[in-house]
Amino acid sequence: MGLRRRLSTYLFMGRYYLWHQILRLVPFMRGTRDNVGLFLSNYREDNVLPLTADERERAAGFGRCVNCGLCTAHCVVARVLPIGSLVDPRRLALSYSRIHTEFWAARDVLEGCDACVTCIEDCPTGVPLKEIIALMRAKAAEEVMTWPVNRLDESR
Amino acid sequence: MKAGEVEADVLVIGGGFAGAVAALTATERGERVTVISRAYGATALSSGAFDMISTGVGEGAFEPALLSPEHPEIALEQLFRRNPFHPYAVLTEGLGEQRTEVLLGCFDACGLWLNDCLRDAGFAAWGRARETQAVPTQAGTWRLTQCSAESVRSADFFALGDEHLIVIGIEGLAGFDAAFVVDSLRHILRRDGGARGVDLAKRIKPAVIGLRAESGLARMEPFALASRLEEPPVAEALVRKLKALGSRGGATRFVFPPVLGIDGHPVLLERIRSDLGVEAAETLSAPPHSTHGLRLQRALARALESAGVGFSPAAVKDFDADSGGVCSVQAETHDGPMTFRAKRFVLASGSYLGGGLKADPTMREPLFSLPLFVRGREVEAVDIREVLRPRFFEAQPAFSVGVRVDSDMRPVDAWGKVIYENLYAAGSILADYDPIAERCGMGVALITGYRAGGGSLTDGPPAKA
Repeated sequence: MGLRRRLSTYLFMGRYYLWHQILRLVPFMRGTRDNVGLFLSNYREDNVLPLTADERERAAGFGRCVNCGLCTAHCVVARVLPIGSLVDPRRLALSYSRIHTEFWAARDVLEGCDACVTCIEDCPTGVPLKEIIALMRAKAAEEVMTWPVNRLDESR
Repeated sequence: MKAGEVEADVLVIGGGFAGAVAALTATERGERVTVISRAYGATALSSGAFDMISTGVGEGAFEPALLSPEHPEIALEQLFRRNPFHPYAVLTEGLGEQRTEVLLGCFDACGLWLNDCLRDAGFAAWGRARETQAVPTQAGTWRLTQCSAESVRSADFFALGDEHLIVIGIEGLAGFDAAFVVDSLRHILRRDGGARGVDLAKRIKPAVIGLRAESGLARMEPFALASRLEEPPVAEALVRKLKALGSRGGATRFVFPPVLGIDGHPVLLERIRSDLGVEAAETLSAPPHSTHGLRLQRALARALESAGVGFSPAAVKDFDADSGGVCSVQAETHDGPMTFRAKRFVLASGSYLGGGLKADPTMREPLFSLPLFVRGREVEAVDIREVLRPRFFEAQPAFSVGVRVDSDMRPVDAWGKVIYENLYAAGSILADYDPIAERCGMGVALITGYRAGGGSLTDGPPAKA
């Protein structure tokens, strides 16, 4: 990058940084807009929701999954219900870290879990599956459906 | 005996394959046995093949020649030379020249005896240590093994005559594609199977049937389908569709994916046999939807129950020991803490997946804090780079880390001294064997479980009438 372009970039950034500081210091210039709310609402329709510090801390436990499949082998729900791709407890730990925006698609599955905790007892690495299910249920309730569930079923 | 206390002659910690064998052996000898088990464990991941030793030609060969499997005697001799710390070698210390003979005899005798124990519980396997079988897998390879679940064994390459095989695919079933499986089986037959293989390759065909509407399953997961197939109307539909196939296929043997029922599979197999006059076989299964493993694990639980073995779901927390050995263990059950007293203790708590070993991140044995070994050395003294190899398909010594035992199966320390006089170990917690590379997981579990349960190596268990 040329010296001129670099300088102009810094000047540009400096100008907005100064303006930001002035807005911070002088309350009445800030106006009454809920900027954080506005920021979040931009992501709302894509189901990108903020995680609390507590949830983020728990997410570390979800990373212990080694995908061995022992939980699946004994999951009563997975064996009986004709359900979607998130049902399998083996996939819960993985899906928690991957597809936050599509928990809504697993709503009925998450309701189907009758909390028998067999999967938790079985887990060799101690993944907190119960907490994952609770969190996913909470998130799924908050999320909006981004396309009709029926379409998802048809495509299978 | 106080409340919250259980007393037994033998306490088995771990309800997997090795633990169950130890418990059944001890019961056979007239001892009162209690099994405590934290969870179901890794038995449900087993594939339906019961390997004693890899007879594949050459080390680490993934698709060994079908026509010339090595003799198990030679494979065992090589194993003893290569790995003097292997459980097979430790077990037969001092037997000299006869050691392979004794081991093979013990595998057969134990296998027959266990089969008798499990048959009423709804699981049967068949095999002889000296008769290598080649059975198809779910992925379309031929797997060499010594013993396999009865439903798999009827597709054994070496036992097939001039049968016409039809590999039945089920529309939408995850993890099984009949056309692919047939292609792959044929390819291996032509390449490795000699004249017989080329001949058989002409007689294998795929066929696909749809069961989506009948089973009412939106997603065909193997376990879900297996339990649906136990329902009479769905089984009826399967038989009807097979009849329609049979009339044009000219099949004399069907090969199914492993989904023909869970507990009720013998009934369904018998039904296909009697209604269609065609022998039905299944392929081996693979984790995580390993149907054969699930059947085995459930049959083991039923066999223990009918043998009168006490079973309690509990996680061991602590233990008491004196100069005579372990006195009791404290375990957390659903009804609170309990104390288990026994004369002998068998530790069959499995490896990493069973929870018998922890790697968090240093490897340790969490229940009795026993020292762990790899390749004859204490694991603490070994550089981690020797235990975890950088290449994925290299033999990983981390999976052979475990407890070292004497020939009576009692854990020993680095100087070969027995740690607790009455504590025995069996199964995958043992050091220095690699169930994947050496293909001896089930054999080691069977023989060490039998030995830890108090059985004698030279005179095997009595086969029941």
